[in-house]
Amino acid sequence: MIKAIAIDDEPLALEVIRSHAAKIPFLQIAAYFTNAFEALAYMAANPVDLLFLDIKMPDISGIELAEGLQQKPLIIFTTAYAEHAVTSYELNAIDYLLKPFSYPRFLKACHKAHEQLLLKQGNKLPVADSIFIKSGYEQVKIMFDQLLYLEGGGNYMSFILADGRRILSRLTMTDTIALLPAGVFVRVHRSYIVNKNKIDRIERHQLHIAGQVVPVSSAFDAGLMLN
Amino acid sequence: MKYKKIEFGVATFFFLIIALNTVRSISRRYFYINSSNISSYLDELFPHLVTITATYAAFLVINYVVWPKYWLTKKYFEAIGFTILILIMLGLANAVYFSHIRSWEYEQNSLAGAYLNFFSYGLIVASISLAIHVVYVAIREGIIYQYNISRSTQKLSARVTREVILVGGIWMLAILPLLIIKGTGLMRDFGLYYFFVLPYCFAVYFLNLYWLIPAHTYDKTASTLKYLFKLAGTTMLVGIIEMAFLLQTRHFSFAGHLVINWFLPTLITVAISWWVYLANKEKYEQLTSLQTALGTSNANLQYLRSQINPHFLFNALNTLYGTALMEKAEKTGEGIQKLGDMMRFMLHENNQDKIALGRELEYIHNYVDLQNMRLALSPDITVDIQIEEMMGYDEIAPMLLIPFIENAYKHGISLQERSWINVNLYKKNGQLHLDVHNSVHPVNLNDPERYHSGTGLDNVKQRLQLLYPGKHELVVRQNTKEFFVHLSLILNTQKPA
Repeated sequence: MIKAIAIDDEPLALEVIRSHAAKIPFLQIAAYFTNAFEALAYMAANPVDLLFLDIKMPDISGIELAEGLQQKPLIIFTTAYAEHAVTSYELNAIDYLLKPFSYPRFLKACHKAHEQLLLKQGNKLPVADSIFIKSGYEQVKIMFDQLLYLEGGGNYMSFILADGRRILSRLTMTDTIALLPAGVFVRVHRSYIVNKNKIDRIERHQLHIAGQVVPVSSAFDAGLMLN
Repeated sequence: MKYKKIEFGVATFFFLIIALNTVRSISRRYFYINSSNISSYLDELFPHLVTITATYAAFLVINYVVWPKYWLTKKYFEAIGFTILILIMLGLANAVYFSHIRSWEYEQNSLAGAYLNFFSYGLIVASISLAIHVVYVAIREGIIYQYNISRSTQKLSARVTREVILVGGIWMLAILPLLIIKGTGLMRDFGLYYFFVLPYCFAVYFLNLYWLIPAHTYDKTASTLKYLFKLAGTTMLVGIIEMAFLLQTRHFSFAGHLVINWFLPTLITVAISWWVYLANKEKYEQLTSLQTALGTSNANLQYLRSQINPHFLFNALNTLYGTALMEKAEKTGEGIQKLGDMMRFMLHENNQDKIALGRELEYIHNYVDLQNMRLALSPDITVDIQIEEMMGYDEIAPMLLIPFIENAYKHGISLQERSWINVNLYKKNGQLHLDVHNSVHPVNLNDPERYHSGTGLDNVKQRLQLLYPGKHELVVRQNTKEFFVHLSLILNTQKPA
């Protein structure tokens, strides 16, 4: 679980972050701050893994705040201004999100942070075990170890689960890839992503997974073999 | 690859000229001296022709077999091996020639020694021919490379560079056959023109075409007199340099040189450059006008940007986004977020020469999603957008695909009547294909945008011709009910530097 806080002088910008973060089970935002100094006080007293930081703020610029931090947590800048992107690299920021950013884009940044934390702490953090996806008007929780493979095309993605359920969600292939943990799920075809742990057998142009056959295209061979 | 045909034609032409010349000079010698000794005539002729033919054949084999089949496919060992083989064979052929003209060696040396000598001389001559060939290939490939590089930009400086390289390269290449013709005495006559008059003509041509004529046409205070004055000054200045060289030769008197080698060529060159200018004027004007138009629209955009602070805009959009999410209005939020992405594209990508294809497609996806929100509640509208997921990284000039899709929505959708749009975008064999098919509705007489219908596509057509000359195909068909567009584009797939 990533312990994070968010700092932005505008409450509605914080609302965006809150709304996106609610859909990410491995991310816990402990507090939201509109005042940079309150946030600093909190960070002095509490451990914080990840910081969502706005740049243009009245009291102090996000860049200055980041520079001044003693113990640096991972930082994701969230801002409407593109010009500080280069500086953000000098501060080793994990990502630089341009407002307004979509949920898949936000999730991608969080995955990056998650990876970094795993590296830093030598796998002490548990890998995310589930995710919520929107199917129709509901949010469905999908456990990764129940997810066999995914089939998709156009704007829709089918999640095929071990209990035989097929959940249809309005997601593109690229967005879906961003949602899934990279170490476990690998793309084997333009339209298919499989759960590595559930593969029964791999053949030349197809693989068997829980009794079903999934095609493998040559473009993705390398990815499959490497993993 | 048109130059290959030209190359072959020129090589064959020179081969025939030299061969015929050899036959002519030997025949003349023989029929002047030894009227009817046919066999010794042929004995004399044969070795000369063997050398010439063998050299020509060696050129053909190396240029059209070894070069494309081995060198260009990186089979360097095979290429060098074959070349050495050809070298040896050419040496042998030349040895025949030397065995004839150095026939006194038969008496001076042993048979083996004589043969060895003939072969070594033959080999030396063959090596010289090969060396000349190598130099030729180097120059030719250099020209082609430069030409291809500058071909992709349509800027004026690139065009000038291209022409200079082309003319300069051809001039340099022409020296090689002239060296061969040297023996025939043609060098004496042509050399004058080649080395002195032609460079002068080139200089005048380029100066006139790219400097004097444009200055005269675009200068508001220009007059014919002023132009003639400038022209006279330029040609006299360059002419002085030319005359300095010409006067070293004793072909003509000073007056003779002046008239034949300065005045006459000047007249011809100026006429040619004017003709080239007028023929290309349209193209040149299009170039400048489009660049100005682009510059104006850039300027407008800058002005617009200075009026509407984009930062304020994005912050406002984000505020609305947050509000929408708070009110659980997810679709509204999504729409606002996509609008934000589209505006970033307009402000950033739109100004660049080339952008990642993925970015243009992202914009199209956002645009389509937003438009479809508008149409969601109208039952009789069918929109089918099939955009293939593109593998790999490609670049494309911005706003070449988007206008067609915008056009389809602008003119294809009537909220009152049955309408449909079909879009198909896919990549095949390094070519991008876009098909747009939509219904067409009679234009409302009060529509404020009714005069804008053609101009968007016209701009795209022009930009396609400018940026992808010979690399695109655009088909537009329409009748009262439907509108169909097909665009094929050869992408310059480049990896980012």
